[in-house]
This record gives sequence, C-alpha cells and structure tokens, in this order.
Amino acid sequence: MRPASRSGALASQARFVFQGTVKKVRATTLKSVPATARTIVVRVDRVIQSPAPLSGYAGHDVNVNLAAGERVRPGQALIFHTTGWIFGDSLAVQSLGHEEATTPKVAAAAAHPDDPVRSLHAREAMTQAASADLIVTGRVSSVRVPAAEVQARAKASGGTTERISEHAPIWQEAVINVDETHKGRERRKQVVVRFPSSTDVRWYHAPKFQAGQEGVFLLHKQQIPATRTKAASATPLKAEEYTALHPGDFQPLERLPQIRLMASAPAPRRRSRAPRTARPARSKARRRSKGGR
Amino acid sequence: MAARRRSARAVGRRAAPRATLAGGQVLVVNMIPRSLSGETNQDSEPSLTVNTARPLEIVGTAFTGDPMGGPLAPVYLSSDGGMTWRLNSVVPSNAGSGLGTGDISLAFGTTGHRLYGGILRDPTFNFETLRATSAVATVAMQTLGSRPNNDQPFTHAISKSGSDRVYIGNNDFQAGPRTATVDVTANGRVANPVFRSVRIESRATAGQDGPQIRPVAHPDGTVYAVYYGWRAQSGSFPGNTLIVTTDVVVVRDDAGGVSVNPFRSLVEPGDSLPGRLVARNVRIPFNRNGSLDTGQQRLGGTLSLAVDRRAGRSGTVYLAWADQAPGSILTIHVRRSTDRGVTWSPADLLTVLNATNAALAINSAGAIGLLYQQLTGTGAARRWVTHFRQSADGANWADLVLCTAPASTPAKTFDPYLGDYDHLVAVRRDFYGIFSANNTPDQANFPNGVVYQRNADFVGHRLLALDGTTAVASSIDPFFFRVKG
Repeated sequence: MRPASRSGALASQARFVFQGTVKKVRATTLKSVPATARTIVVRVDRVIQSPAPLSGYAGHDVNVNLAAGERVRPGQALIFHTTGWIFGDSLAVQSLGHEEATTPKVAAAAAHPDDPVRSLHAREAMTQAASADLIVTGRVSSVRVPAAEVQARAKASGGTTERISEHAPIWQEAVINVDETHKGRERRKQVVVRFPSSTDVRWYHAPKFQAGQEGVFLLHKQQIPATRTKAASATPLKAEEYTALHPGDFQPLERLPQIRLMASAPAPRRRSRAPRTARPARSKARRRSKGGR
Repeated sequence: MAARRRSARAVGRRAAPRATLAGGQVLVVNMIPRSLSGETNQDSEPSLTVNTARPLEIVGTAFTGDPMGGPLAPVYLSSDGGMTWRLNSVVPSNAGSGLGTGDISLAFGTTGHRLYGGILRDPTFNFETLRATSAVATVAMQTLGSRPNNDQPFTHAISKSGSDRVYIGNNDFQAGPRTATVDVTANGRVANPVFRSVRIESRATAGQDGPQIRPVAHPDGTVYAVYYGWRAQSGSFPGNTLIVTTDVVVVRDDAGGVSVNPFRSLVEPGDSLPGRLVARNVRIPFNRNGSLDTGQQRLGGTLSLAVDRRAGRSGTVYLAWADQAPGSILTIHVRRSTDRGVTWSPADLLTVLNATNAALAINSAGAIGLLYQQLTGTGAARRWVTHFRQSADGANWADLVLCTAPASTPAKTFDPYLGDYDHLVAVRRDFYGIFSANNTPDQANFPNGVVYQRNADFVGHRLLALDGTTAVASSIDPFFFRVKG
C-alpha cells in the first residue's frame, strides 16, 4: 500500500521522527563529524516516532546531516524524518526529508501523540500487514513439531534434521483456529503457521506461539530453504508454508482496525466470534472494500 | 533543560572513576556511548581489532543493532585508544532489523589501515566477506563475497610486502561433512580479492565439525588454525542434551595458506593425516540454549590460538580449548608448542574450571595473555567473573579480575547470553580485549575500576537515561579493556 502523502512516504522509511528547531547551520557538536554545508544542529522539541532508547531526546540537541537538496534556516520549526548515523557523546542522524511543523502535520505524524515508541510499533505493524499474504484473527489450538519431522528427528544424529548450529531455527508449527480472515484467499477453519522455536539471536524476535494465544496473525508465505537441513537425513520442507518471523507478525486484537485498514482487506468472511474492538473498523473496511473493488 | 543536562552529565562524572589505566596497568571502559544511555539491548558476543599502524584506532563489534533500525549495523569505534567510543553504522544489514547483524568478526591489516571482516548477514545469515579502506569511513563496508549455510566467521589479517593476507575461519555446511574451513585471500588490498575456501578437516566427522575455527598468522608466512573435529554425538540438540565427542585439531601451513594444498604442513603421526590431534575424544556440551545452571550462557566449547609474532618465534604457539569434566560446566586447558605444533606440553600450563570464552594473545615481549569468563557460586549467588591472566613463561600466571557480576540478572533476551566468544589481541606490549557483561554500575563489580560513558549512578547502582534521572534497567553491555604490558 502506498503512503498517501509525502509525510507518509517519509514516515514509512524513517525510524526517528521529531519536531525540532534549527539552531545552527554548517555546524556540528560531534568531534567525529566535520561541519559541512549539510550538517546542522537542531534542538528536539518533540519526539514523534522513535525506538525506545531514543524516545527521551526532547530538549536535547542533535546533529542532522541533511539529504541532498534540503535547505533550512536557523529558527525554523520543522518535522525531521531521519535514520541513525553516529551515536557518540551526542547523536547524529541522517535526514530523509523535512516538512514544516504545522499543527495538523504534527498531529498527523503520530499514531500515538504521547508515545513515540508506540507510534513506531504501530507503524511497523502496518508495514507487516501490508506485506502479509494472510491475516487472520483466531486462537492457537496447539503447538507441535512438524509431523514429517518427528520421525526424521528420531533417526537423525543429534536429534535434529537441521544442521547443528547455534542459529538453527528448530521449527515448530502452531495450529490456529481461525475466527476471521481479513486478508488473503485462504478460507479455512484452521491455518498452520511455522515458526522458529529457537531463542538464538537470529530467531528470538520471532513470535513464540503457545496454545491458547489469541490475536491477529499476520502470516507470510515464505520459502524455507531446504539447504539449512542435513542433506542426507532431512525431511524436505514444503516449498511454501505460512511463517511468522517478524515480531510484528502477531498483534493484539485491539490493533485489528488499523491493520485491516493498511492491509486493504476484502470483506471478511466471518466464521464465528469476532473481537469487539474490531467491529466498527471491520464495518468500515467492508464498506471501503465494497466501494473500491 | 540545560540545567538538567548538566546534572545528567555530572552524575556520570561524579560516580565513575577517571578514564585512566588503574594503577597504571588496566583500563576498563563500558563502550555504550552517552547518547544511548537509555538502551537495554543484550550486546553480547563481542570482538575487537586494533589498527596496529595507528593503535589509537580500535573497532569493536557485538550483537548490537542500529539503534534506529537502519540498513547498516554499527561497529563500536574509538579514536583515542579506547577511552571513548561511538557507534558507526557501516556493516551491511537489513533495514528495520532489530538484530543488526549475526556473527561478526573484523580485523585490521597490520599496515595500511584497511579493515576486513566476516559476518552472518541479517536476514539471510549468509556468510559475507567485507572490507573497508578506513575504519572511520561513514559509508557501508564493501561486500566482497556472499554464500549461504555457514557459521561463526572469525577473521584474522596480517600485512606483508604491501599486501594484506586475510584468513576467515568458518564452519561451511556446504562442505559437509568436513565443514571446518578457512577462507584465505593472498591480498585483500586488490580491487577484487578472491577468497579461496580451504577445507582443513581431513578425517571422518559426525556429520560436521564444530563452529569454532580460529586462524592465526605469523609474519614469516606460518599460519595455524585450530578447530573441533566432531567425531560422535549423543543426545538431542533440540532437547538441549547434545554431547559431542571431538578432537582438538591444529593445522599449519608454512606458505601463508596460499599454496596449492595449504594447511597440510602438520601431520598426525598416528594416522599420517594433516592436523595434529592435540586432544582426542574429549566431550563438550553443545547447547541449544543456556540455563540457570550455566549462568544463562549456552555452552559449545571454546578455542583460541596465539602465535609468538616475534622474528624467529613462529614455532611457539599457545592453545586454549575446553572440554567437559565432572563437576565443571566446561574446563579450559592451556598448552604450548615450541616446535611448530609437532609436540605439545604434556600437561596443562593452566586449567580453569567452570569457564568459557577463552581468548589468547602474545605481546611483543613474548608474554602470554588469556581472557576468560568463569562461573562461580551456586544458585542465585552465581556470578560471571571475567579474568585476564598474564604470564611471561606459561608457568606463573598473574590474575586480574576485570568484572564480577551476577549471572542470573539481567534475564537473557536471547542466546548467547554473553556470547559464543570474546576477544583478546596484543599490539606491541599492550593487551587489548573485549567482553560482555552485566552493566550494573557497581564499583564492587569492577575491582580494577571502570569508566562509563552512558549515564550511571555508581552510588545508587542505577543506570540513568539521557535525562540523568530516569532509571534504566540493567542489561548486557560490551566492555573494552587494555592492559599495559
């Protein structure tokens, strides 16, 4: 889904969005960053969207490296859309673009005006929704080792068909009883999603499903490379299975309205119960969907 | 707000000791910069390289993602000999990644300022070889090569006659079942260096070798590498009960690792195959994840190798490896060869119980340094104690405790808790090292002093956010240290 505005386009790339006042141009506060025509010092007036460690930057100066073609003047109040650059005694960020800090633009930039971290998480969930192949609400009925793997693992050395590596995913399957399908062509009572049970640095971010877990599942058809398994003993994995690998691939039910908006879901086929929080937005989405497709 | 900022900085200054070598011997620095005072990431599995040509320039790495989730992962960069650090995002990664990079190991050439490395790149975890012409560049490192199905790249570089020989140990599953590999290039400085994947395992394996493949080179062209040659397995990796029976194998090449059949100079008399079996059929746990009994750290063995780089001393090499003996989660053994790896000291020069993450280096005076992390105590009183040991002769070892911190807190967010390795190097007479540990600002945890850049209250034992007042939870941070030789 394309962002509807320049602001939206910038926000979709930037992780650190803030309202600030330009203090100095051709200046820097970091020894390791020489002052150039593109380096400016900006006082952060308000953090709009941010990872947690940087959410407390209001009131502090940051160094901004302007993108090609950006021009600013001291005293200007602007919204900067940035990514990280250098983290030292103070902070330097790379600007992706800026816009005038009008009240409506500031208000529009934050999903949660008082919580920049939550705003970022909400945006990430929207990104995952946009790229998901299947979005369902439901409940995990069981978690299991993939059936084809059980026997193979029993025979394989080391009790696994995967290469013995710290970074092995150690796949499991979650069986989801589907309440509603919000995006995708699958219309099934149950969906099986493969997820890594490993807590290794590579996989710990991925959702670890447990029986009884209820929420919004943003599932992606993803080829799982068979080359990660032992050539001799591996049970070949299906070329495409639903996976949930990103931390944003499982969301609480209250986020469903926004997810469905971003996913541009067709009218859902309701199977049984639905979360109360989803109903108003579902109706809205259905209307939009009917009108637009 | 200005007053608040001053207050915040004052907290850090008042509480932390001076940024000097304590007692003139050791400097320990928490590497998280002040601008990231609010971070709580588990910055484990650190490695370090010092620019020999410009020793004030040091690069560290860890499982540290770009704080803003950008397309490049950061390295820790110091331009003042490790006194202060900043994050410089230059490692190819994945936009939006919370991880930054998988395993990472960088090394400077010994002249010329170029930086080389091997990473497991997020999100594919392909093994990628990297190069930068300068550590202070703020552009992405150049990717020289990429291939899948690999583990634990470990980089070593040495310069000679205007060229940089680069060795990257790696566990290449594409070479299965003999997976121990060293990628070698004769000159990393040329426009398009070609890395050759040298398979160094000559014997039958239990399907694969262990992930630790550690190369080290001498200026005269002698190159050694050590690896765990896995011979048998019992138990289950998914069940976290896997025990591996393994040999500790040292290989050597006398022509820089760039001849037609490299790493075959050292032969085991018993089977006439390349690779001396310094220890045979030892047992190591290979954990899927750490547990409270292991101080949250997963265990999978540890290996380190150091060669005396003085002229005419390439035959002197020290080896540290670990196995599992009753009553010890992992036991480190240190031995020495003075005849190019042909024979080894019959007994340990040093034995350390309940320890992992061994890292060896030899300085320009021939003194040997050993870094390791030892689990002490029982139950909730368990602590990770990080030691630096130093010996002039391999017989008498001085002991410097760099850090002692609770092993049960903070709770791990992923494996490995401290890292599958740490790192030690020597430049001239000085030793430079890096380890990861609980970052609670408590002077008692750092008996030889410590310097924090991030805001910290050493009186209240609290980390503080950028505002100097908001408490921040403790986490695992990388710590740099330097010991004057």
